[in-house]
Amino acid sequence: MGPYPISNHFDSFYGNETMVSEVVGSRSHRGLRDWLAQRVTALIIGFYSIFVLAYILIEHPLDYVQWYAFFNHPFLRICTFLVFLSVVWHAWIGLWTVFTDYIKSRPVRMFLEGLVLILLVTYLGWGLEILWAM
Amino acid sequence: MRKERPVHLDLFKFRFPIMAIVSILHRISGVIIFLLLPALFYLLHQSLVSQQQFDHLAQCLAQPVGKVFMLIVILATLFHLLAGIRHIVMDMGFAESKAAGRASAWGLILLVIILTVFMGMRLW
Repeated sequence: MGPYPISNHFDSFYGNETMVSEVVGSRSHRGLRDWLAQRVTALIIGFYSIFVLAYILIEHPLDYVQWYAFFNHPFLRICTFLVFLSVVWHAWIGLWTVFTDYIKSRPVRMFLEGLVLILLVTYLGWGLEILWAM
Repeated sequence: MRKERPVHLDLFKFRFPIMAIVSILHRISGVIIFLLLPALFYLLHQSLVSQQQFDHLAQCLAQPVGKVFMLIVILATLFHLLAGIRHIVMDMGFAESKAAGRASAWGLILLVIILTVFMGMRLW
């Protein structure tokens, strides 16, 4: 496949595959964007996880009223939705990387990428429902 | 690339350094968390929907199977979180030498084991 592109984020999913032989590096800078997004979303998820875990450990044993009030707080609801968004984006970048590294067959890879996208969008809708239908 | 380069990719003859093992475990734990996502969304949903569902879930998670499930969630999450912190620290340019990378990889494994045992003791 010729020299390694600076960004290896070329994939059929983005219709860039034919560019590999012509361009070394990415014109779209998708590699840089994904690199940054992976880290920013990781920080958001990390801080939130530690916060919720600390709450559970400190307030243990939790009852339903406390637990409901915790997630019913408008600020926490926004934070939780931001974390759902981060999880979906982070999981997409991570799984895209794993598939690109280990799945050699292009049809299989595209199938898995499509499946993961559908699942992640479904989880996001589910998350919305959990937070705003409570 | 030279044609006569040695081709020897018998993976069983490689000895993987601990940093490589931590790196692949970071990926594996991430995939495991992705596979657990529907269960986690389900648990959050059910825990918030009503008092009855909350009590029912608490009962289920107090069973041995529920506790093992929670320990798997905790183990995968702790590993992925702490390996991610190690990765970001190295991105920022700290502890990048081979010796430091080896030490932080072992430290990570040790910390994950200690924290998982601690959480396991709280569960049982």
